[in-house]
Amino acid sequence: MEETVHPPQAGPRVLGAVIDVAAGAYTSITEITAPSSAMAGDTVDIVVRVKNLATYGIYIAVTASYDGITIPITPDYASVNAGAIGVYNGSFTMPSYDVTIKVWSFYWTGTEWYQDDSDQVDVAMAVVYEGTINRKVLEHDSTYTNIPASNIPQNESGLVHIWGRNDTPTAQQLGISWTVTDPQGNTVETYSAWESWPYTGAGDDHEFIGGRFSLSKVGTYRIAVSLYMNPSNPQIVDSYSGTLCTVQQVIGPPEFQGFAISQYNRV
Amino acid sequence: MYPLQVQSIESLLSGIAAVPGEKIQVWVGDKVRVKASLSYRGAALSDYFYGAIGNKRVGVFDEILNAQVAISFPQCSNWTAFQLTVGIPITSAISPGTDYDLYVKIKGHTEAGLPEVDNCIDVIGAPEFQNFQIVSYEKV
Repeated sequence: MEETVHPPQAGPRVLGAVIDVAAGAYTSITEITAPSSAMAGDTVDIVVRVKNLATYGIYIAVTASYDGITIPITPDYASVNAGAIGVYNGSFTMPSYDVTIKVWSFYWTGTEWYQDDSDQVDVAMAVVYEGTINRKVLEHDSTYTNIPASNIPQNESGLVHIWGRNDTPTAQQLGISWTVTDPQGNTVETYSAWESWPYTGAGDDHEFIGGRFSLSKVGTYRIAVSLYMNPSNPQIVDSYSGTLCTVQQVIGPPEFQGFAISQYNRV
Repeated sequence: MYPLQVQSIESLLSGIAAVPGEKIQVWVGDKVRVKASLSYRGAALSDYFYGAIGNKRVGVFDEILNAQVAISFPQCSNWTAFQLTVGIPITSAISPGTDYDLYVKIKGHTEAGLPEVDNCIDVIGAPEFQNFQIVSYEKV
């Protein structure tokens, strides 16, 4: 959509013999200084430098906006000598999306502000990868128990479920990796995966399910989990390292064998 | 001297343990100590080790004397051997006779088995005398 240009309301007095000229004939935006990226909520400072192309001093004003939102600029206008550069400052709060800052320069004709030059610069939203392992469950023989689980009967089959939550304001592709070790420290399962599209929206979570393994040993099984974002340059956003479960021996019904009288005597 | 000799023989006999297939002789007032062995696997268990002397008949053991002692197995995850002992008093409830039978059981768990030893005990009755008479007399 075409952006609406709003010249400064306050204007200087009549300058004199400034007449209609082509855009950019009297002013040139030589530089727009702004960060290439900023995090949502940050204050973004911009500096606009405008050169007076005329052979005499003129009043120059600058306006700027992003996404139809006006960025306040100071000063409202400035008298700039021939060949000199006027410096104008502005700032705005970074939204949660990429923006294009559009800047216009004006000069005062003596009766009105004339839009003379324009330029633009992009500011990308910097992503701070934030996520949480918000649920951990051990499935064992169709029973679901939160991790760390305790007193799991020996020889049941284990299956790990891990949920990762996207704590960023935009959708993210979540990744996971974990390793399960038995009471002797031997690895019994390794699992890693990136979720497939569609990815996890802001504030939502995604469930990862590993492979089955046997809880055949009595004692403490451990798990080390890492939750990732940004597959092109994976970053760990949360992790857990600790007890997966304790496994206890199953004692069956009483059993006897070899029952026999071994000897007898008179006493 | 003669009575002392009899007592000595009894004392000797009392300490000799018989094994299945052998026979022991007992008197009223004695006690028969029975030892059994078995292996156990399972949770901790309390029960009674029970022994009886009587007569085995077809399909039934006709108990005459019996006794039991409390036993307690600890939790055993693997087969574990135990030895059990019970003493059965010989009372006048049993008639003098021969070839009495013996059996034991875990009272609450007969699935463990009912070990028996047949014809292993002879019960001798009360003391008996005969031919009691004066055979001579003299000055000393």
